[in-house]
Amino acid sequence: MLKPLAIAAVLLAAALPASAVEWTPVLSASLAGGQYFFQGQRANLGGNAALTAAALGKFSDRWTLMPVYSGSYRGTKGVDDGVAAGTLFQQQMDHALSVTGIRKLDDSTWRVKPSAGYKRQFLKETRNEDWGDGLFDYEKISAGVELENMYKEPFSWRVGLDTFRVRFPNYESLESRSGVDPFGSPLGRELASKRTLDTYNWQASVSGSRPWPFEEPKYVLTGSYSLLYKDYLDQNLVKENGQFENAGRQDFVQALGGSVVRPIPMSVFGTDGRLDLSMGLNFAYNRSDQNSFDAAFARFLSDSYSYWTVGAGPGAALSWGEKKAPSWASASFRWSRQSYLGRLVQDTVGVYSSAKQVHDRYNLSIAYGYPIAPKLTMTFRTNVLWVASNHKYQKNYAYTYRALNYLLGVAYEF
Amino acid sequence: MRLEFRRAETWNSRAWVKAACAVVLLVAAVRARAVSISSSEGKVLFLKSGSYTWAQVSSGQVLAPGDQLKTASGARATVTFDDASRVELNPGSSFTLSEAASQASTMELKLGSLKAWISKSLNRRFQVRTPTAVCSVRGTEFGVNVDQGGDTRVQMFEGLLAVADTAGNEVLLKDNQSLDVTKDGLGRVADAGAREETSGSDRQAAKREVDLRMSKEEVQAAAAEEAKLSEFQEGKVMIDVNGNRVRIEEYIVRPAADQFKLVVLNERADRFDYFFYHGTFNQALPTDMSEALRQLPGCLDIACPYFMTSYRTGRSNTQDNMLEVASGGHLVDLNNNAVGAVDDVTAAFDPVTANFIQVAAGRPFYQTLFNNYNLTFNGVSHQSWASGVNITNMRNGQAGAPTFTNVTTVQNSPACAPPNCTYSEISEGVFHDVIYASNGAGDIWEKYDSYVISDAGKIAKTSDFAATGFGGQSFKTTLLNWNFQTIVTASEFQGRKIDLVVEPKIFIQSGLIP
Repeated sequence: MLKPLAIAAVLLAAALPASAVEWTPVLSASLAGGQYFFQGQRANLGGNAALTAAALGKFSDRWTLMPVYSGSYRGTKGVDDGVAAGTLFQQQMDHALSVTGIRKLDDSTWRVKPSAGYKRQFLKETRNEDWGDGLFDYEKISAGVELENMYKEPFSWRVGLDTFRVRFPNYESLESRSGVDPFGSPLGRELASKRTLDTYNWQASVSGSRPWPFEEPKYVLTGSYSLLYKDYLDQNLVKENGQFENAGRQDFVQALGGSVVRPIPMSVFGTDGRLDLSMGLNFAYNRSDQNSFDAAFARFLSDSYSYWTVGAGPGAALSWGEKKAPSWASASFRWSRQSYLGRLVQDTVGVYSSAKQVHDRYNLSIAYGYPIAPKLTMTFRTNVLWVASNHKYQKNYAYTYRALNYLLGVAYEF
Repeated sequence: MRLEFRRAETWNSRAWVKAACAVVLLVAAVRARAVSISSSEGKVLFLKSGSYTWAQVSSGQVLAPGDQLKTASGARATVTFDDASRVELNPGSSFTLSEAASQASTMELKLGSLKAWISKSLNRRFQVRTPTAVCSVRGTEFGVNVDQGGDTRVQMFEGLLAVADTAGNEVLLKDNQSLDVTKDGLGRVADAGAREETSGSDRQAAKREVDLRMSKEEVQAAAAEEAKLSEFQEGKVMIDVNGNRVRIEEYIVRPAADQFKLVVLNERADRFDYFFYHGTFNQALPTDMSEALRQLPGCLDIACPYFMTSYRTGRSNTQDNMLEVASGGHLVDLNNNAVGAVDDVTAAFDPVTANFIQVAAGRPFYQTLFNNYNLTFNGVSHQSWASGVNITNMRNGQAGAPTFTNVTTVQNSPACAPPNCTYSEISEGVFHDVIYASNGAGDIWEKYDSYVISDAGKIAKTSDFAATGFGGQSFKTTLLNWNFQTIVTASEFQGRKIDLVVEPKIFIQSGLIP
């Protein structure tokens, strides 16, 4: 009785090497500590950690599956992490899990990549708040498909269609559950929305990279265009009299981006090194139908969420030393301008003018990595952000400030 | 170079071997015995033996001995054998199938790289030749790379690999070992890192896919971040003086053409408080309500086109309430009424500039006075006044003033002492004051505990106003950038409180704070 089973087991074991899934793991982890400074005020030391673990599983010549987990914890703010709100202690943790299938099409360089993912982000705003109770915790469920033409590895063109839902499980508008006043009149407005931050999103995108010249490339060109439709499921439009319309908010965000990179082989400290010079440019335009009503100033603001942004900046990355464990240094600078189409400027005490809000951001990033063991690199990163605006009313949010953070740590790559 | 595959000798039982061979032969018999292209990607050219014309291959293309393949930059092809063994040709490779018999398979790799997975289940000889070396393979998974000069790197992932140079020198590679072979002969066997280097292209591909996925994740997360940002910009979350997070929502509704209702909602983890201000004007409000609301504190020089005839304000913790009801509103020029200068307005908030301005004596200043007023706590009246005709001033006992019925009166030291007393800590450097009012018996009372705080819940210090000084226009203007927190308790609340944080503009502009 056992013999057939044993034979089957042996045959299976013998056949496995040729037919079993071949997994290629990818792991990157980082641990860093540092501080951030906002307008000269120094925050306490904090720690950041991040982990990305993925595996490319080759099931057959045609099918590959890639599960990815990525998680991070931030105990110190980045310069972009809502520091302008300026008030709340923030710790952030997120976990994301996704699966991407890669199906190679016969006799072509095209691949079809269906994917699905789930992400949950936790945000602690006060010290006594428990993880999971954050007002702005959110979850994201996504699915999509991408067509990729890997016409010259690693260069490709990609066309994608994605849908994702963003839900803030702990956030409901206060107005929607405010009940009635002691005289029996409703406190909230008619048609007051409840889950005003939740969105359904559909995104179509085209992107690609290309060597130039094609045969003996000296530059790498990349470009992308995307159209994102955001449907706010439960956020009714605000009318001029402060009431709501029975129509929901819808935003269309178009984004166009491109970059050129020039890799230059060179000798650095007597070793083979490489300098990558880059220049990037991006443009985005958001067309929103939502207005707002400033209760403090009883002022209706038409088209207050539509904006366009433009950004540009150079970067440089230098690597040298052992090919398997190089030292590296990088620096980049980015300027971006966001101009609102309907959001009006207020002066320092809140008086409105007819000018529209314009915000400029200047971001300088510098990083250095030094190998201290196989696959292990000591890293230092610092970011400096200047923000300037013609909007001078900063009661609720800072529109003109400087922020800086630095992080010293280690990074592991496998 | 020559690679030879031999059956793995791992079976101890002769019977098992026989049984296994029988099954394998049976399986092999029903399979096609040809070698074929099972998949291709990009530009993969095929030259049939005896032909001079290269053609693009297609999946399923059967290969015969002598057939050649070339993969272009970015192209790949997989050659599959009838025993499920397979060879994957990487970009830029030149490959020839030399022999494809049931007992032996031989191939040549002139340039480029391949990776092979060889089935152990058949007793087949597996051979590969490169320009500089000869190898024999006794294993299941290995890779071969040949550069432009013909130098060869062979890597063994799993099993045994015998590698020989053209002079016949041979060495055995074990798991995860690698070896360079040049025209000068065999190099040194390397132990660590072989798999990593050989599978570098796989890892790079995996990293690339991970990067693409993470980029997509970043774009999608930006949509969520933008929703959060708008909340931050509207300042709807702050910390109160007790360190609790407070969510604030403020809005104005128009219940009727001549009415407005301002609502401020506060939510903390364990409580919900609100304030409302419901006013009725002398005429229908304009589309831009701010035009009428700006006139609530009063009007300089001319009578206000818009003024309130009645209003109701309320504060509540959803259980207790403090209500004010007023009616009979009409305009009075306070700076030119019968009582003289005692009720003159000398400084006023100018909503147009959001600044406090000085008002000269005798300059007309019109403000709304109400003939009837009642302040109640859970329905119990603490203060009220009434008049049958339009009043002209609020000076108790003066002609034109209403009749006051004050159940409670403000208690000051030395008649009382903190905490149940009216006092201020301004002189001690912090903006905190208490107003305490009670009746003579002390059994009906109300208390307003007020703080000026930052968004972080820090109580304003007098030093925060050092630059502007105290009093006057610049002081009050600076004060606008802080928050007011008022905790109201009363004899009717049974120890409970109404705890509200509001922006001072709301009160100042609506005339609730002079």
